[in-house]
Amino acid sequence: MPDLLQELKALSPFPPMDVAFSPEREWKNVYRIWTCHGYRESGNANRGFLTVERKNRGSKTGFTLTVNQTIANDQKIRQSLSAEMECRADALASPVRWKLSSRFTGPDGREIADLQRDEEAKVDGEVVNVLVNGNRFQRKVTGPWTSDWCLLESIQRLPFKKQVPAVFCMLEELSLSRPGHRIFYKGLYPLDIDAGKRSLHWFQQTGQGILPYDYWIDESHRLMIMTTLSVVYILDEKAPEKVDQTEGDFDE
Amino acid sequence: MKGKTMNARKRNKTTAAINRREFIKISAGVGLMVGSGTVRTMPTAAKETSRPNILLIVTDQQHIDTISAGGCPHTQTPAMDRLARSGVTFRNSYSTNPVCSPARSSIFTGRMSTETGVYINGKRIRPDIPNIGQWLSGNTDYETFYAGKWHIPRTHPIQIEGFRVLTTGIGGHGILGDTSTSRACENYLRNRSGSRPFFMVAAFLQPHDICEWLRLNTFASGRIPYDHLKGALPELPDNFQYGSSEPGYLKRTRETRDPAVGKWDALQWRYYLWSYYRHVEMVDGEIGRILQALDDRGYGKNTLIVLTSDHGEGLARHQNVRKSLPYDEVARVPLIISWPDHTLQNKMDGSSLVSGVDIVPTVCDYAGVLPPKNMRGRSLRPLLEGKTVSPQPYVVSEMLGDRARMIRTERYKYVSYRDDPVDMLFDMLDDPGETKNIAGEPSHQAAVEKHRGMLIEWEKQLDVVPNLPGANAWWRKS
Repeated sequence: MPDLLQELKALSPFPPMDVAFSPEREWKNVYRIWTCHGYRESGNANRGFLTVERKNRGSKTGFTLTVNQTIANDQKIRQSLSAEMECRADALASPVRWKLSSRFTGPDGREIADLQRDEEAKVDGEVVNVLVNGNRFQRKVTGPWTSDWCLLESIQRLPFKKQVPAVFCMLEELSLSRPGHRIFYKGLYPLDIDAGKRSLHWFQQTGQGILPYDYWIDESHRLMIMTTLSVVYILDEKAPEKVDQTEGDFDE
Repeated sequence: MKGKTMNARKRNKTTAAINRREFIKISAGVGLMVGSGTVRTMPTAAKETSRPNILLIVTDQQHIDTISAGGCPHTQTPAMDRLARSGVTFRNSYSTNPVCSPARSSIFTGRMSTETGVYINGKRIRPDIPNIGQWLSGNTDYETFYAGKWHIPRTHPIQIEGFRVLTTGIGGHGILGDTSTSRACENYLRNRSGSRPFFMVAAFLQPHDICEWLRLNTFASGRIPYDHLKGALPELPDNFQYGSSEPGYLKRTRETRDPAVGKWDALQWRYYLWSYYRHVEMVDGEIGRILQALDDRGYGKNTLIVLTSDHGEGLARHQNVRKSLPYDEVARVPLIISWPDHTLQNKMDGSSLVSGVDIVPTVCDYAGVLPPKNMRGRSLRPLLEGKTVSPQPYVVSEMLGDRARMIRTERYKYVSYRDDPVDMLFDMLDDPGETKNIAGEPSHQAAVEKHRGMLIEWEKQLDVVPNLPGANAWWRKS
């Protein structure tokens, strides 16, 4: 809940509303990835960042989403994913073609050569033709589906009203198939935050293979916060500078 | 004994003996040598192609009944289902000590936790006991890799002796770090060249994040934050209630470890169950990513896959959550072993008593090398290949350092806490949910005494570490 995040100082500074923001135009959202062990004030950290950038392709049928995500693992190992996706301008921002790269860097900051992965994919009906590190494969997809990253775009275009949710399959990070997903609109959520009161629109997503996602969107339809259990994505343009690169040794 | 294994044992006997003597001297250097990419000249069977690659998958805190192919109606686990269909699932598989580090020390050494020195979290394996990475890299031509949680003692070290560490993870956040584990394994497999076999460990943190969930969901009962889930929540288990005759530790644990849990109503318990199953599905997806890479690179047919967990999860049985308990919900763990066209397929073994100490002997058997000495378990290869073998009469779990013991025989489970007059005995055939403690019933005193005697005999073989707290326990007195 945003008020708990506020209490734990996870939201500060919370960005003001950008009245010029429009989800159908070009935009770039940068999120800080903040984690909480549940001990409230202790053990919390900025574990990475995620940028999502939308560029229109000169037609109303689609757009390009560029995603960059870096996660700081323990012992200064970083995992980075970069994707450029051509998406349909449908309700799910369904990807039709993408390039994805996966990289690891070691404690010295250098890329680990044999842990690289490069993928190109093109959707052809219910088949995804994939080229991974030079090898070709086919994956099957059925029914409405999209990527979790694409949802960060499409959620901003959903109307603020309750409706019967469609069921779709989520391809997590363009790789793990998670069926049976639905997104519900929950209403307006008042929030007393930083410099005053704000209200955020609240959506919930449930389905196979995830703890529920909660999306919090401002009046300009910009996604401000996304939470799933102990992980929170918070709009913060300085997020890449704030990653806590601890050695880490949380004893379980 | 199998002919192939016998030959392999003969071939490696001398080498194994030499390396045992040399082991302590060289062990400190093995990890660095492998980690820096130095190719060592292997003295044994370098050209042999009949030995499989080996992938050991370790999940964290996974209840045994969470795999859909095993009958769990609450999860969709296509990756684990695939392993179950192509291999053998052991239903009576027990953790050697149902808490993280001690159980892991057994999985990776084949020794009990009082021997490894990792009898509680935060200890390291004593230096004269090799882990499986050290053993394989020192005695075979296997390349050895590790990704994810180690926790012996550090959760995610960058160096583990005997292994090249591919990646670490994030303590307490499998939801983020497990993707690093699976992607590192996947990426490595997709780039891999060369003909040497590999031994790879993918050690995931999930579904352990249920601990974070428990801390974050201590709100008042009577409501859950996702109304539309109410119709999808699992029912409470048949053994949700617990008996009055329990050792004090079990009562205190239930009352004090997660006090908010004691105030939950049925809806909140069911929401916890639903959430736990989602954690299991998360890790199943990550496992699936590695299996896909194995298939894509053509390793699928020549890779032995072992899936297990360090310990189980309370999962509302006896109104328990978490670990360190002798009940089956925590003491039993998944164990599936699969090698297409070599192991039995889709076999559910509901009778063999097995445990974490059987993993090292099994891996060594398939790797064609003698295991380290003083193994407390045995190779499961005959069982996996449908050979007739005399059944293991019992398995033992240590608990809470040296404060408790559990011994499971075909019919009974006997539990004793060192400083508690209340023992537990369950008839596991008539009462698999462990709802009726019959230890105090006169008609079962003979069974109690028999199990106490077996524990005493079993303890005599152990080479426990010096200064083990409570080394004067009754099971070690005789």
